[in-house]
Amino acid sequence: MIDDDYTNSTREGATKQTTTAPKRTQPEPPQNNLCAFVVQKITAMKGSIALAVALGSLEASTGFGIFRCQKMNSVKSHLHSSIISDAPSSINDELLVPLRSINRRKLIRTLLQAAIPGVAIMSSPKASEAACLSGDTSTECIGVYKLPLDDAVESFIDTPEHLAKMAPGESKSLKNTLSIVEPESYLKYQLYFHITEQQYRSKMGPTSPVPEKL
Amino acid sequence: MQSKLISTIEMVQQGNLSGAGVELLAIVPRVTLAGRVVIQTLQNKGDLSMKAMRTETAYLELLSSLGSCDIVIGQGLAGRLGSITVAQIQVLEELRSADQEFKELFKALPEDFEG
Repeated sequence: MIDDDYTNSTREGATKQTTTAPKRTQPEPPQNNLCAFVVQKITAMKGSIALAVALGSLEASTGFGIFRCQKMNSVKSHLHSSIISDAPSSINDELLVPLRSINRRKLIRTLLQAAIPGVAIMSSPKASEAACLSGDTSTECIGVYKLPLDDAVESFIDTPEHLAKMAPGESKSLKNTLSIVEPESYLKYQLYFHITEQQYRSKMGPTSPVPEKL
Repeated sequence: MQSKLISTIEMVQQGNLSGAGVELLAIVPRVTLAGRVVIQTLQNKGDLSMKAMRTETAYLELLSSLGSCDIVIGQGLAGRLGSITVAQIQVLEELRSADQEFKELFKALPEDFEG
């Protein structure tokens, strides 16, 4: 009988809520089913609770900033008053205890902030494939940024010694990059683009050395 | 160099994106260095300064187009362009654009100039 009354009252409460919902009025608590009403309220307040939990966790992760500021201010004022009143040093030590704990918390937070990116970087030691030297014809360099061969870069890669010093382990790039030779003159450029080897010899002379093709 | 680009187009048509990418990697630095020599030579001649400007513009456009080809081939190899046919179409479009830029560069160069 008790169970039947409970289910009946729940049904009544449910029907009452559905009929009052279109009127946008606050649902009244059922007389004999307070538990169901509380559950409904909690369900309605789920968003607020989640927000409060999120704010709380954020505050905890930032070291309870507001509380810390209040504590710091109180400690500072106590210290100031104690110094003025020439209080015994034992009182000053007692007052400094919370200040030390705050400093320790700050230190731990700083260490954690520095350690998290470090761990993230160290945990995936893969090559980033961020850039290649211009002239490197390995397939890994397709679609990857190429370091332009301008005057600013040339001094670092002009000799095998320089490149080995600046980019150790890039032996293949070293070979390919150094095999590209800048044409010495416009005519030699034309050899590569416009005229044939015979035309070049006819202009420069039959015995003139033909430059190596680019 | 333009003939090499045309051979690259043929490679892409056959579906060899990797070979086309490697060929393009060999073309780009050579064009960069040769173009620099040409522009310096033209700039040193006072009466060809306008030609030098036009050539430099065409040269930069060509380098940009070749770089774009390189990136699209890289995306195609990484599978970011979908199926191989779609990748081929996009790469061919970029390569033809680069070929057109080559022609523009040759048009911008002065005729019968030996430096």
